[in-house]
Amino acid sequence: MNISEIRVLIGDDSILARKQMKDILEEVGVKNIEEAANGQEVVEKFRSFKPDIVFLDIVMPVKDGTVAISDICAEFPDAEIIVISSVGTQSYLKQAILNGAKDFVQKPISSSKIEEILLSRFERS
Amino acid sequence: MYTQLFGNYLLSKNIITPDQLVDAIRKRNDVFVQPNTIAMHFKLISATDAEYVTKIATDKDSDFISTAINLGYFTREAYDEVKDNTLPEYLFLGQSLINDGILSSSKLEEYIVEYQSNNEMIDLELYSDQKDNLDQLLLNLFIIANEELPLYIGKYINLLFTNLIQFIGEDFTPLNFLPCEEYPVSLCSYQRINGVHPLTMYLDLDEKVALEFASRYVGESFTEIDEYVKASLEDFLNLHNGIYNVNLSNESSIEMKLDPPVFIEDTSITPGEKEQLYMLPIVYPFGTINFLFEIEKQETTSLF
Repeated sequence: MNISEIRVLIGDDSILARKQMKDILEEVGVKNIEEAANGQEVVEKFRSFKPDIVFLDIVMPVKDGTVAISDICAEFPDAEIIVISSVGTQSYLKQAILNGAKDFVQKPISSSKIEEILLSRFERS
Repeated sequence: MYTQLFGNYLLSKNIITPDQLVDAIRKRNDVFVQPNTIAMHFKLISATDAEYVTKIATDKDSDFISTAINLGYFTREAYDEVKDNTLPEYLFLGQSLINDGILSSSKLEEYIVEYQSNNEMIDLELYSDQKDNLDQLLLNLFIIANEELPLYIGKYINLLFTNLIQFIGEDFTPLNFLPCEEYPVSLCSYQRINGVHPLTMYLDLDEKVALEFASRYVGESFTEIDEYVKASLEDFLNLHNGIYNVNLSNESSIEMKLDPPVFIEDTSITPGEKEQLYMLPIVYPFGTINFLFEIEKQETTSLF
């Protein structure tokens, strides 16, 4: 699938982090982007938006990222969820991967890393 | 990081007062490091000789460099070779203190040598191979001077200063920890770190400082307090605390958990019965950032 056709869901409680991620995705050529500000919203938007890939923070209010991953993967076992967080500790990483996350990126994010993740899964637009 | 701690070193030795330090840092952007200070820094001339040359130059209504060259202290080529080199931050602070008449050139040189010697530093700008010395310096300046502070705070502020250098800028000087009974906040984000070394961290700024802080952190120019400026305070704290937790996990196998950061404004912080509150002001030329540490009273475990 071409990057310009994919649907991306950003789950982060920081409006700044969401904006920065959205700017990077648009630069790479992504056109369909949805945002969620907490773990519960991520689960709900996953059901309605059906994204091809999710970039998800861990530490979030209402429902944290690891629980959101678990909820999504219970319903959608093939969900492509990439964790983007400042807390890449052993326990958080282990839990995220066990719950179904496919990759982990330590914050602060770089556009080259996001591009690399997308190009390893989708075609350049 | 040694360069950021030089101002605090002068404070700890009662060579300057906090007000003098803050004033000198605020003038930082207007400071022009004088040719005599540059020549001394690059060891073309000693402080004593530089003061002598300055006197002769003033008497003859000439400039410092021409006078020093005429007197044979160094050549024009030698000065030209170093004059455009990047100067360390502590030299701007030192020049600011000289301009304010608080230090003489020779005293500045003396204190820099003493600071380097006390901390076994080869060069104030080279610190990558001097981690143990840096840990010890942070302990001496911030922790041992405050007996009630747990030693793990040394690790925390070491990383905090590193992240400030990386994400906000290297032109800061930390003052000393101050215990607080109550603290009124302006624009503030806070975050709780849970685990064996529980800690609640607050980052508080006034509006003017918050705008510059956010502009530097995000790399965009903010002119009014909006949701992005507020989010930048939360984001910095969350990023820093996250990296702190990763380091604890990797280096000491200690797993801590973070609560989501929270933004508050125009209220006050009062520590609980079992906690103590300490303020650590960080002075930038654009203003002062206050970090507040809410720490459990009984904490004494060392991570060093």
